[in-house]
Amino acid sequence: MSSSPSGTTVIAAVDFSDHGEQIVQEGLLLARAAGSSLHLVHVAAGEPVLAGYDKEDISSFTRSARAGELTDEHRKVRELAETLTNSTGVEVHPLVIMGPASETLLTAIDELNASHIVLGTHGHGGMHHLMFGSVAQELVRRSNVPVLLVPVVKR
Amino acid sequence: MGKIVVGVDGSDGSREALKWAFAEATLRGAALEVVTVWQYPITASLPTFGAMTTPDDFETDARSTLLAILADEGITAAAPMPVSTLVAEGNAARALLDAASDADLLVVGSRGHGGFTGVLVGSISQQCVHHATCPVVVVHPN
Repeated sequence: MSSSPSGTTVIAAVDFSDHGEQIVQEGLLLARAAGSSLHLVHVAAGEPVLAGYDKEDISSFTRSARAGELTDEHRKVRELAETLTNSTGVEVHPLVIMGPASETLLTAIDELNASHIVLGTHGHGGMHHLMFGSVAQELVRRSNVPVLLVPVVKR
Repeated sequence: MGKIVVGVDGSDGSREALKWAFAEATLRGAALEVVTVWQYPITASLPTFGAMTTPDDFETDARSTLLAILADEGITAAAPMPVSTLVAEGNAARALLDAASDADLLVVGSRGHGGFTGVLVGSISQQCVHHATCPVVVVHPN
């Protein structure tokens, strides 16, 4: 978790949804304007909790499937960060953290000492019919830093 | 040139929003549009004849309050970017969304004067987040 010379960083919460690209673009605009670095933070779902019969068989199966998914997600974030660092001149760091989305992002803001967080109003979490994603709502309510929300609607 | 729209109602949150918007507009080289909205008060009885406040009075008041806030925050004609002001009547969220229809960013405080304290996120900022077509920045009072 290195940082830019100015010491500040912007967090863009990426979840590889449809408007993920716009989230990254807004993060880059903020970071470039302020001379900050950008952290692409992907919050990966925690390990599934299993209950029921044949727990051991299922859990080894789902664990390895989940491990494969995580490797894949991590590779995607890392590649994106590399491409962006090379093409934009902004220092972009990849970060995959497992855990519940809102809590994890709030912790990331603290730990990275971020100046801003950018996220979509409509992630994968919660109920899809909610106009204003539950993660976005939680962040707006609890974050101490400005929250930039990217709408799903294309201009 | 890009445009950043900010809603100001004199609340602490909106002042933080204004500071943030001004700083960001400076960094990005974008124009700044400062929007304030006034509404007719709802009264249960008619005021005494001759004492009624006219729409012009409300608008003038709103404008002078806005200019005082801008001066207070050091946002003057000498600002490095064009700064425009808009005094609108009616629904605050509607006015902000209209002003931001061609903006790069809409900036609001997390809670203004509207709504009631039990509401955790200002109702106007929430409406803006719901309906805006451009990214919305929610700034918290310190």
